[in-house]
Amino acid sequence: MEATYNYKVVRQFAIMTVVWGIVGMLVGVIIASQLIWPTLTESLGPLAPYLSYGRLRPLHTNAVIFAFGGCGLFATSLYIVQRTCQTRLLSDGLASFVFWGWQLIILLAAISLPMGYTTGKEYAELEWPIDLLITVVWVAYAVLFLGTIVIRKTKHIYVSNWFFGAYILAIALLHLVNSAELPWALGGGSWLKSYSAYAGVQDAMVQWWYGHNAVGFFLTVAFLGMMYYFIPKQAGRPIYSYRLSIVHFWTLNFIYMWAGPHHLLYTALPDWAQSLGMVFSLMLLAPSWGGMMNGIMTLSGAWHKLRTDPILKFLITAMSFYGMSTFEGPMMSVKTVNALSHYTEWTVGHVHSGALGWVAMVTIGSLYHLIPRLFGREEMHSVKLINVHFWWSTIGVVLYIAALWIAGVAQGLMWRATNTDGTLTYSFAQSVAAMYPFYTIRLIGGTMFFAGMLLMAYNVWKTVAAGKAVNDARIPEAVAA
Amino acid sequence: MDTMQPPEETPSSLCTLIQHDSPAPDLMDILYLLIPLSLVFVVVIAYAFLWAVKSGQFEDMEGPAHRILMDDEPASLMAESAAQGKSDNNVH
Repeated sequence: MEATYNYKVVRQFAIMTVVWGIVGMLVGVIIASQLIWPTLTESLGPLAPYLSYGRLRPLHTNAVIFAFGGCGLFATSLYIVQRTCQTRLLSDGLASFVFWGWQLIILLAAISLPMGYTTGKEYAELEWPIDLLITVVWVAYAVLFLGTIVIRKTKHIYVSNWFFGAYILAIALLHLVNSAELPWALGGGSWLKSYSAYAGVQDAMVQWWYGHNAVGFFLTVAFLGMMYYFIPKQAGRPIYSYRLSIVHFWTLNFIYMWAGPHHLLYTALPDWAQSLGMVFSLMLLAPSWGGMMNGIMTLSGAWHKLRTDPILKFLITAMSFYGMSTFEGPMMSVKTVNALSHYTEWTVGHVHSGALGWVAMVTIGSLYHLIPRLFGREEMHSVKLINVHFWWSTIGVVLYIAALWIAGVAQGLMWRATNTDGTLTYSFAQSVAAMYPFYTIRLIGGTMFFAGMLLMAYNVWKTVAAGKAVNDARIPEAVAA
Repeated sequence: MDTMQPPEETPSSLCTLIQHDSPAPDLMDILYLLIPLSLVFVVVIAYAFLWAVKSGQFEDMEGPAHRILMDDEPASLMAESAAQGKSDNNVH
């Protein structure tokens, strides 16, 4: 029997990426509306508590990061590792387990978060039974991915796999340390509530050590692995500098771990730890921009392709947003800037410049490249629709982040304004009232991005309906290096 | 002003808890976990890096970039290869 790639699990994750993208972004649109109309869901009677902002907000972040982003990473990493190692996944059973296990986790999150079960730790809200399940599925994923690298037919390990490998190991470590918690049941309470193993500022330190590294390894390192494969593939050209991609990888990994304290500037955290976080954050600019240049310069000599290929537009625009948010991030971690930006909408805008502009757009571009290949088609059902999707997304993100830049700076200035006698110039409620126009622009931007995902779903549906699942993608004989 | 005074019935043990005569020795003891963990992480990636150098992962800094483009692309070639039979067994 001829050896083939396992495309089934890639296909499953790819489709679910689109589905969870729509769900996660819809919840985002709902909570953005609640900021403008706070009583929006209050008339829904018995449903109201489950749809309150405080419960939907973690649902939104978990859905877009771990359901949409996570499925996108599973799909692409399991595709890339097979094709670049020229071998089938280590185990089909394990692949199915990872898929269904991850879907179960998402489902449990979608039930438990609206019900109010939360650890209260940002991006790690899920309660301990789900944390245990995540651990099991993640170990299975690590075995599946790293095991496939071990049985590779090529001598060289392509740079994308290094990025994915680092992400898998780092997330395992972060999850285990940050989610250390004691079930309340041990103290005679509920089985569905737990308390962190750490307290006070110790807990805050662990939380943001986790929180920033989750951004670093989940939302950056892993998606760079995606970028280093799909930009060259879609452009039909090798990466601008393979050597630079290797340098990018190792420097990023060596210096990422200690940027977390920049989330805790001007808190009870010791001052030296705050400064350490700031310095490491500033250093990150170098590898980040090296990587951005590398991705964009891949088109060097073929810039004309950007005019006609909307998939490349997605990928290259994603790199631009990557560059922009990795400049903005270090800048915001400078203490004097942070004094203005901390706790304001600017932070939310920064996150979305990364999450929508970089993570979502690189994922969308990659999926548009990937899905036709998984369903035996030359290209997506409608390339024109991809172009429309691209423009809706781009305009949406720009509206979103520009509105929140203005909102954030205005908020920061209003909060710090004092009268000559030392009293505050504005009440907090006045700063909230000043947000309305910007919240409205943000909602429009976010809705445009969400609408783009609906276009994508339609396009994917038509592509899949007219295609046929590819299960016989043959593995070529090992290429002599 | 009156509200600033601790209530009479405050247990004395609580007062002693709040009063810090000397700086707490275990102020940021979480760092004894996080810093070693970072060091372990650095050692692990340093080890991975040395392994990669020794096993010749970085000997060719051009070929791997080109090779991913020549991996017998499925979608567009699929139709042709089906028509041409086994001709695509020849790897580029």
